[in-house]
Amino acid sequence: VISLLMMCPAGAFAFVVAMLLQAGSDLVSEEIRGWLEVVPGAILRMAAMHLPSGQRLEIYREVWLPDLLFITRKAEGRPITKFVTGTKYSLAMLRTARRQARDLRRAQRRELAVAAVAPQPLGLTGIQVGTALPCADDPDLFFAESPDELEEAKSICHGCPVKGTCLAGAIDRREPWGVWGGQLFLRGEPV
Amino acid sequence: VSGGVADLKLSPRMAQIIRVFLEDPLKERYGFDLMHATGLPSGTVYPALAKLQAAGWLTVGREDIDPRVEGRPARRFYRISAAVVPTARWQLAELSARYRPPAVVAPRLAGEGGAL
Repeated sequence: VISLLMMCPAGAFAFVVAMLLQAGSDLVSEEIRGWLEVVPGAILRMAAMHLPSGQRLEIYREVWLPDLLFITRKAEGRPITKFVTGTKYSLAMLRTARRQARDLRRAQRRELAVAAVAPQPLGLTGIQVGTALPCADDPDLFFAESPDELEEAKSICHGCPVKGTCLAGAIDRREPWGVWGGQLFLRGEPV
Repeated sequence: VSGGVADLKLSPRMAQIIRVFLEDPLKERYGFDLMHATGLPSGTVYPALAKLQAAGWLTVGREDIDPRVEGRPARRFYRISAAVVPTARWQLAELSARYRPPAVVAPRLAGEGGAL
C-alpha cells in the first residue's frame, strides 16, 4: 500500500480522505451535511475517538457537535469563513484530545475515590457512606507514566476496602488506562 | 477532598473565562462565545469549563431551541453559580495584582547618591 501511495499522489490524497471519512464511524450522524461540514466533522470524530468510551458519545453529541454545527450554520460570516473557523475548531480539539481524555479519566477517578460507598449492595460493612478512599489524595499517580509510580499506585490500592469492587468495575467499563483495584489496565484489560 | 467552591484556585486561563461570566453573571454563555470572547482555542476552553463545572463554579443547561426549526442541535450553555461570584471576583483581583508590573523606578542619574 505504501509504495502504491508513493507512486500516486492522487491515490494518496484519496486514501487520506477515505481514512478521514472512516474515522469514528460509530459517531457519524445524518446531521453532518454539505462540504462545509464534512472535513471539520471528520476531524472532530477523530478527536472524539480519544475520549473514554463511556463518555465519548455523550460529549461528542451533546457538546462538541452542536457547537461545530452552530459555527457552520449559525455563526456570522461567509461560507469559507465558517469552513475555516469550523476546521480550526476541530483541529484544536484533535490536538488536545489526549489531554482532554486524561483530564476526564482523572476526574472519574476522583469521583470514584470519594464516591458514596453503599455498604449493602457491595457487601462491604463497616464503611461509612462518603468515605474518602486512599487513592483520593493523588488521583494523577494512578495514571502516571513511570513504572515506579504505577507500582506505588498499586501499593496504595493494597488494603483499600473497595479494591475488589473497583477492579470489577474497571473490567466492566473496559478502562483503557490507569491503575484500578490494584491492577494496571491497558486498552481495556488488566496487564 | 471536600470539593467546596473555595477549593478551586483559578489558573490564568480559567480566569480569562470566568471574567467573561462576571461581565453579566446572569447571562448564559456557550462554548463558541467563550472561545470568541477570550481568543482561546476550543481545546483549551472545554477542559477549563469541565473543571469549573466539576468544582461547582458553573452550572450547565441546554439551549432552548427547536432543532427542526433552527436546523441544528441545541447547544450546552454555562452559567456562573451565584454563590461563587464573590470568590471569583476576589480571585481575579488577586491574580491581576500578581501580574501587574511593578511601579516604574525613576532612572538614577549618574553620580546621584554617590553609590556607583
